[in-house]
Amino acid sequence: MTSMDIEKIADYFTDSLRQVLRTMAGFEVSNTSCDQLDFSDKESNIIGIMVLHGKKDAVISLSMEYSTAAMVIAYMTGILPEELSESDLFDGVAELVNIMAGEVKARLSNTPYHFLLTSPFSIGGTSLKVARKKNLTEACRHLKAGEMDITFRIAYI
Amino acid sequence: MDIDLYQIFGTSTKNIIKEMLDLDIKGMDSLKEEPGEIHSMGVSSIITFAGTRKGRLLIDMEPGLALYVANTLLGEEYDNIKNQMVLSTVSEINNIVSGDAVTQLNNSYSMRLRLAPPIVFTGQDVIISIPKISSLSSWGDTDYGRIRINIAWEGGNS
Repeated sequence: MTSMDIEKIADYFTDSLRQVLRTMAGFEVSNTSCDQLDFSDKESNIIGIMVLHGKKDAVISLSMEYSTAAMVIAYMTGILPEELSESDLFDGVAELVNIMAGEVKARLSNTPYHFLLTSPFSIGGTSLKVARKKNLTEACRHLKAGEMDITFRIAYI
Repeated sequence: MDIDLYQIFGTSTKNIIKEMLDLDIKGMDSLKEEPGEIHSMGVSSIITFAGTRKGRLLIDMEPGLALYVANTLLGEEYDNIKNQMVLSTVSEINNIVSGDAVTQLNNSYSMRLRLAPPIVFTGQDVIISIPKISSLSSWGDTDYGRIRINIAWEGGNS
């Protein structure tokens, strides 16, 4: 991907995620820009991450509470939240990143902003701290539906 | 070639740690398949690379080793692995190890691999899950704590 306005790129991804959540989970999600861009040390976070390779590399992430992940994955799979294992949540969040990125990749193919996907991965735990290079060009969105709050971030790396 | 794609990262890890820190890593001579999720030992860093194939390297250290690496390289006395400089140092070690290994792979096999900057993380009971991709791990011991590398190539080692 070239250095397209990162806010515009962020909109592509959040549009894709909204569509995925609407069609697969039945959620109508609104999105707003974040007040601050740091990965915060929220308790019990689960974060799905993918690195994108293009003319300019980028990293995208979706972070949420375990309870939000359980709700989203339950609606997507039809499995009750209490029957989902931790492993299901990790796989589900990584897959959500994969679906979102795949949809944007298709939309941007044959444009100067095309990019390659890599394998998504999830990390989870308590007091999670994720660090990257400082002073990156980045954008952030909160996607909300009721008590559900998912944070999307993208940074050129 | 296939096993080289994995072993070269262990060799680079041992060489770089020895060169930069004068620290010997005991072990790290064999590779074992990592079943499912990876439980972080303290500080973990992931770097991805893409070219004719795509892959990634995870370096995972116990807190004592991460602190020793940062304190020795930076000449400081950090005592918290969440310190940004500690995390950045571990991240940079991953960058250097991966750069060394990837350069050798590019020279030997024309893989045209390109590195993305690493991501580093820490926390309590951290689990790393990489679905749909099999990986191999190699473990080593130092005087300051354990270190593990985990290598994965999309499409496995075929």
